[in-house]
Amino acid sequence: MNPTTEMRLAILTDLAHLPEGYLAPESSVRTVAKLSAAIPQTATEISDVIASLEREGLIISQRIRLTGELRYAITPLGRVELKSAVGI
Amino acid sequence: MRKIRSDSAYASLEPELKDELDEGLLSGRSYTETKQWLSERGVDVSVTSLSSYYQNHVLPAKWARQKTTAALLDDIEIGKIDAATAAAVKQTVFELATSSSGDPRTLKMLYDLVIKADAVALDQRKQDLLERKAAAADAARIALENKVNSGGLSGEALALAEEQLSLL
Repeated sequence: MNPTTEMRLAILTDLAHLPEGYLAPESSVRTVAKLSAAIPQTATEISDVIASLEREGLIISQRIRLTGELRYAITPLGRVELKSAVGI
Repeated sequence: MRKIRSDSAYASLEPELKDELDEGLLSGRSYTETKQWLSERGVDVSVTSLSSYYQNHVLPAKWARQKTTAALLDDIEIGKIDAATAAAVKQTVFELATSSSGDPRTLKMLYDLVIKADAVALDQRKQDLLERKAAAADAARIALENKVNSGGLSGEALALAEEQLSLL
């Protein structure tokens, strides 16, 4: 499995474990991606993966008005993608 | 979550050190940095074993804490505060719970306190509003009486105005 696929699956898996109605902070999503493989991933590579997941409609983001921070959640399409990839 | 093997280096870590290790990984410390950090504390592990430890123990433990915390938070009666405030507070407390050192019961207590503080503030705002209305009614009543005394308003009109003022 290449690092990009590992990051994608790690992010989707982590977000799939979020209880309903809650979101994951961007820092948490980036950490999960960063530690998805023993090989270190750069911040740019991680940003690209997050952006592509969002572009494909597998995750959604919400910006907190007060702090400007981003929060993420998996979409129903993302759950389908994850299920087909790893059978979760 | 897999059980840590008794002969694993992680099984013999002091609880405080293990908490620090988990916290470091959850906050984004890389495997190489973590390996170095552990080495400085006399624990030698490989990057591969750290990766397995994170995937098989740290992450599942985080997910379990999230689930427990969400169940506790969702069980709380939000009372008088508005839905947006409740959601914001819940999300903040939930994020604190992703920390390995976050105790869900302590966080629930914090959440309860915030909710109560907000309800008290709301009651205070209501009380202030009532007091301002009462002061406005008193001022209006005095103005009306002055008008009557100066011959500008009939007794009947005054009675009607007072009845209306009592409704404020």
